[in-house]
Amino acid sequence: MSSLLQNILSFLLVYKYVGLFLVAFLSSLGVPLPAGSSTVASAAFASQGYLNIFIVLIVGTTGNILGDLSMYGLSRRYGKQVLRWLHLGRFAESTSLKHIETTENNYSALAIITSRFQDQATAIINMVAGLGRMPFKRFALYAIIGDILQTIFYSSVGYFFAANWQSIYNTIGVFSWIIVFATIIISIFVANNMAKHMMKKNG
Amino acid sequence: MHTHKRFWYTLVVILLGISLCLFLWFIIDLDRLYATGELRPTRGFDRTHQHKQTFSPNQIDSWMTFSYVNYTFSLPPDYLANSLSITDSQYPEISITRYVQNNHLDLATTLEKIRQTVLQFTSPSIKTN
Repeated sequence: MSSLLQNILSFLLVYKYVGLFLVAFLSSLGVPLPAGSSTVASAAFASQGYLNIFIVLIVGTTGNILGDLSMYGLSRRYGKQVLRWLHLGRFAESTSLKHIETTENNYSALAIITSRFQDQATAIINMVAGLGRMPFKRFALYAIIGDILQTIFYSSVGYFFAANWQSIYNTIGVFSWIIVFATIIISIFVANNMAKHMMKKNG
Repeated sequence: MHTHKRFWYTLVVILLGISLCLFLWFIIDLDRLYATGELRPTRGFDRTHQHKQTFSPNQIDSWMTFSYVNYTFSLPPDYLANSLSITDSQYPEISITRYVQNNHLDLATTLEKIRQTVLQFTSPSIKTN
């Protein structure tokens, strides 16, 4: 077990629901914290009766949602300014970024929902959605759906496989990356087909 | 345009390759977990089921707090404090790691003492000299 995860587990045991909320919130904001592991571990503790599983579900979901919306808002408001400040202004105005934004805006449901299952992908998608000025209501809807599904999934793993959650979670981590890559591949294919369709339509 | 297309196709092929490798890894991992019996739910839907799993004192780890250890092994709140002369004001809401750091103790030795103390409580027939 990594020392970061050990520290997080100690943090969760001391601060309980407040700790879980903070980890989920900061992870969605892009801070490299193991939010998925935290949810699984909290549910494992709930399985023993040390925490309440329903409060874990509510707190975990709320932390994720607020973190996602905050990251989206910050990216939307300050994203391009930060990129220019980091001397990445050319990237901010590049056609590559516009293409990624268009793909994500057009196929946002799949990208946003599935990215909730992978900590790093969540932060990236949140940032791109904000940079691309995706409509807030659409982003919020898909983020909420994805966060609810993600919390239920990881909580179930922790709750029902309590004694073996660490072994199961490592395998789940591999599975979440498969989902992310599959989503990217599908998005590329669909975007490519859409571009062909638009070219035909415009003659 | 042709170069642009080739770039995306190459990217897709690479991602497909990585996905395939991950999928194989996932299947092999699942198979291993099933073979070792770890892929087996340890908690059911039945809310009346005894929810505290049987933990061994050897499973006590440094990231655990004294509060969690007390709860897991149904220890009296002050048992570990009295047995190990713990005077830290944060007890029991302090992790074993943090306690060891605060008091400049050896982690391995302290962990072993805690495990033995818990073992004495859970199996009182075992006496240590």
